[in-house]
Amino acid sequence: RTSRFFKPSLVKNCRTFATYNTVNSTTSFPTSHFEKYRAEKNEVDPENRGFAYLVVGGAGAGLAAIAKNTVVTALSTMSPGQDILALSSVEVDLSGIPESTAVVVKWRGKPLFIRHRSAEEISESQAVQLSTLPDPQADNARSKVPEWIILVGVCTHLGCIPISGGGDYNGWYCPCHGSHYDNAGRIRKGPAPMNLIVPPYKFITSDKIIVGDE
Amino acid sequence: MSNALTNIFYKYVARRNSTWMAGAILGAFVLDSTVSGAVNTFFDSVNKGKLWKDVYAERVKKGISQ
Repeated sequence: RTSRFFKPSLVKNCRTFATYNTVNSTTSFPTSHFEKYRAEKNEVDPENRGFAYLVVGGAGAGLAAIAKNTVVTALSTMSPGQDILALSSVEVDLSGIPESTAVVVKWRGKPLFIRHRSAEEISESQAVQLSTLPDPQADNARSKVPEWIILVGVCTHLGCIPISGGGDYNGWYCPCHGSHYDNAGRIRKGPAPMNLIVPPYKFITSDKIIVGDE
Repeated sequence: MSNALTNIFYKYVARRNSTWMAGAILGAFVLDSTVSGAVNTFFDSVNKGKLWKDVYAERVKKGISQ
């Protein structure tokens, strides 16, 4: 049919036949206006694989985090409970211990020697020359308060338990191989190589201590 | 700018399986710590005053606990 409504301006007064649908033709639609909004083509990665892999990789990382948390939570159910952890420290009331007496307390399966030292014992211990000691350690380095000496009662030689009050130095004496400790638990004579171990402890009041780090 | 980032990611991480695995594990650690930290901070701020650490601070101030 003749194109009555659309005619190129060069053709006048001449019957023209359009071979395409001219009633709903869109060629007059101005497309040149939209060129500036066209998205820029990614030269390096035209298919945008980077974005796709980023999404997938993020999901993979999330899954790995979930797996790690599950395993850690499951394994932590096997860690020691609070009742076991409570056994690892012991609280001792010192007010019941008179002077010049020692008390033995069980701590983590080992004996603890707690001695309330008298003034002569303290001054005797502090007067010792460090050069004469096989394992030199000053007295105030071994006790926080000089009246109270707290030691792990296991001989550092081969693990026997020393006897209180024995020995030549008014301290402890290990009957197994004859190690003499003084009243600060330092080795003086005998085969033991080191002084008796001082455990970690803390005074909560002036009369109570907690042995063992909480 | 996002184009540049995804291009770097694709070119250096996604093209080889070794780098991909390393990136996934590293990303898991970063993601876990970030999300855990953020959620914990939010939880603590929403429940301020009711948590043991706040109660303990109050008790220390009052002299009940050490």
